[in-house]
Amino acid sequence: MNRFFWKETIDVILHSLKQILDKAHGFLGTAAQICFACGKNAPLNREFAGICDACARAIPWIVRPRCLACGRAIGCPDCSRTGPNERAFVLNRSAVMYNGLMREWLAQYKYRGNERYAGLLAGMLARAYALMERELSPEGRNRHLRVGQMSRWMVHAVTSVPVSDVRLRERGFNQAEVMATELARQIKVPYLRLLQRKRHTDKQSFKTRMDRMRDMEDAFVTRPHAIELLSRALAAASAEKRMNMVLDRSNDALLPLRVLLIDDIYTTGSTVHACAEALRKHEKALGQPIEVYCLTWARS
Amino acid sequence: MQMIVYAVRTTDAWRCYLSLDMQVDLQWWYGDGEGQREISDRPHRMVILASSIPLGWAAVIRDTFRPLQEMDQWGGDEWQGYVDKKIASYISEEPERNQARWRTVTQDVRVLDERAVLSGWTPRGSEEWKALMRQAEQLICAIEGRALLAGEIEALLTEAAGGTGGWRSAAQLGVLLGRLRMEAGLAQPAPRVPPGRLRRGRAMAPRCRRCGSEARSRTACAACGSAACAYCEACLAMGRSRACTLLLHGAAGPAVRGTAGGSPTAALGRWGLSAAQSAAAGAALRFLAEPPVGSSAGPARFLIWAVTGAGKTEMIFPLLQAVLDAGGRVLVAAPRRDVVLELAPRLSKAFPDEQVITLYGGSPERWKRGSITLATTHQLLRFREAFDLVVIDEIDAFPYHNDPMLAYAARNACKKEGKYIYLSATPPAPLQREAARGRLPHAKVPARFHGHPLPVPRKLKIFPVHRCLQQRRLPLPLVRSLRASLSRGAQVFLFVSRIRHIAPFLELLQQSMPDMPMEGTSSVDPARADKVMAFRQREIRLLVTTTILERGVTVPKSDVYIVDANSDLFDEAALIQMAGRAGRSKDDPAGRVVFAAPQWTRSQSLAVRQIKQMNRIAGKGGYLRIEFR
Repeated sequence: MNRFFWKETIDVILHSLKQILDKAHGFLGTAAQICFACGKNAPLNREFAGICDACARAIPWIVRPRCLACGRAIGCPDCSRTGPNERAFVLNRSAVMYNGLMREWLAQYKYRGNERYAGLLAGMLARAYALMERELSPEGRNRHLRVGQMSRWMVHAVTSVPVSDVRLRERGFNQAEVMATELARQIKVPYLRLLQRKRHTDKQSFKTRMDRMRDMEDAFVTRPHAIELLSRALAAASAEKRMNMVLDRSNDALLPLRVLLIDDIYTTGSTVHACAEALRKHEKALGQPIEVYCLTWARS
Repeated sequence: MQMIVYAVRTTDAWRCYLSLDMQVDLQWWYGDGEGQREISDRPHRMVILASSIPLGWAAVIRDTFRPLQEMDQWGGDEWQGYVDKKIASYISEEPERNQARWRTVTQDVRVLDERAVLSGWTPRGSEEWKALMRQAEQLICAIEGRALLAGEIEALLTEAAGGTGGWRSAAQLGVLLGRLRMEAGLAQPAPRVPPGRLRRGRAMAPRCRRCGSEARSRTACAACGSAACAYCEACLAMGRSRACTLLLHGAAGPAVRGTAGGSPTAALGRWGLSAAQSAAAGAALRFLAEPPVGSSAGPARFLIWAVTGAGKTEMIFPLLQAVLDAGGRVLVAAPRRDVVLELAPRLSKAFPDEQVITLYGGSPERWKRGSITLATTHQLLRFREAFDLVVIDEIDAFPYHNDPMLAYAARNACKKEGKYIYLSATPPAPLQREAARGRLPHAKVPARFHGHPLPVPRKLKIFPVHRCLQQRRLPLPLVRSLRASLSRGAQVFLFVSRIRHIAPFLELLQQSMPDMPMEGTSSVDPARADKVMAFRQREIRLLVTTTILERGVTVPKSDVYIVDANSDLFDEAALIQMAGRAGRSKDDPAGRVVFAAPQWTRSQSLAVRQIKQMNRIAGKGGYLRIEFR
């Protein structure tokens, strides 16, 4: 009985001490941190603002794509399919696989309109761009470039897949454009509004692959001032190239204008294909080839 | 979205309107057909104040519009100055690069004389106008007592009328008829006060008109053109409420009073209530028959404080009946979806002639109308001043507790002269205080429907659970007591304070009673419903769980054990609710309740005191069949 008494007393003292400490911690510690994705009160991630470590860990990154054309992480029957299978774009890379969690995040952002996701999605895209840049640079994975060795792969302009005016008014924002402008700002490349949607197509998510392909034909055209914007970007790129030639000496005179096209999801590739096609119609007027690289947030 | 806002000089005064379809307005004010403006003369003058500004700003112009004598003499410049002053503070909140654009866009005040009006207006034929009138009537009926966003209206019309064709014109006519009201999703705060000596000018956030939360997120919006258009994050799940989205509110008729037709006893007879139930229901009926109080204090409230197992649901039937008989609409709000689903068939059975609409997230009856609406609290956000009687079940339960959004929604769903009835076994402290001080009329139901006293919890001194788990040994007194309960044939609820204790504690229990079927469940258990069902059917004899099962679960012949009853997570209300699981059935009214803990805390003693007090009141009131010692 005596032993019980002492243990109990110690327990009581420890319990009250713990309570006091908890209160003090709540008082002095950082304000309540709630992850906006899962709603839990948990330590927030350092790289991606606003979400917790658990959510950040759950992101299904595509680190090494299996299909080098469309960036899919698993084997890709679409790209190895025989028959007419032209791509107007060079390749696509995606940040993540489109799993249940990513679907939920995109739905929260795009359909619910929770624009707190904008920063997160743009941040994820920036990370994917860094991977893409490393993969496509001539040195490949060798990151230790010496200063002045400017043969790093880069794009000259960033643009995005447009949405129709009806959809834009309804939603209030174009998720692809928001991601693209933020990425362009981070990588210090101009963002150009080049494309517009010619007609209002129904939501893509309800269609089969063939329907989508047919539907997308001629859905996009370039905006009126697209050619001027493109030539300005080309001029800027050539100027930079000439400057670097002195140091670089890699002597490819022909400069393809590299445009990075941003969208939220890559499913069959028909959307980005149609956009790339519309852009490349200006190759003649520009007098230079246009290479369209696609960077999409998710690969389904 | 963007809006047109205009002022019009009628024979008596200047008025200001928002417009979704200016053609409807022109016909209303200048047309000659049937069902037009209530004033016979055409207006003297009409001034378009702005034709493409964010709805939020337009609504501010309208809401702050006060007719002035000198407006009759104003020309375009004066009107322009008037508009500029009203929206200056909103333009200054835009980023610099946008301000110049907004200043030019808003320079479009047009003073219209009759000739200018006639040139810009293509009148509809009288048949077409009548069709529009019918459409407006339909819309008015469909959204009576609701406040809906544009997207929700479209969803409602698609379901109710099979299409949304031209609803904006119909809505505009509804506004002109005075039956609908257009608002912005967020209420703009008053313009910033210049910093004074005592208080600094603090930027106030706009408030959501639907859920009452402050909207602190601002983003660029393609729909209205503003670069800092605020939206509400709190009620996003019900569609986004923005500073520039249209919120259309359909006015409902005046509130009816619950008739105390004849004596309350006659009204009560039909429902077969116990004496204790009848007394409280009678008091509530008298409350319903009272004339409405001044609307400044909001709708009148009444608390029914009924012990666990008193039969609260049956008690509300006569109250619903009284309001329905007077032609009113009633709402029963419950905290959780499973409660709503359990209540729905009971209400349908009690009121076979009334249409009972059940609303919860994803409910197929989302846009239906009925005389009885049964809803989870979140669904109330879609109603405004719709109901004559609002009954809120388990006012103390999650998620009303500490959620101002739901409190706001519940407050708004009731008509201004309507009535509230709160039900609870453990009212929150502020309500208890109000009741004790006589500010909140209330009735207590101190006895259970079967007329037996509430089981009074017994103390059992044991080590804390974490210590038991460390030593991998259960306290002997607890095991002895549990064995006694099980051998008398009772189902045992064993409540622990933490989810992580469930599995190891269950293991220890299983070791000491190997042949007894037992399970553990919690909020994170996907098989919870199955386990509770098995427990009810006596396939499982002992269930280890957390407060998730503290209410709403009725299992015949059950005993309740609460270990770590001294935990901070168990407040007085939780302890009473858990204790209330025992002895609910007529056949076994004297279930056992055990508070097992190393210490006796204030919450425990308050819980025991309240239980004993209720038993005492019941005994004095003569509601107990067996004399309570």
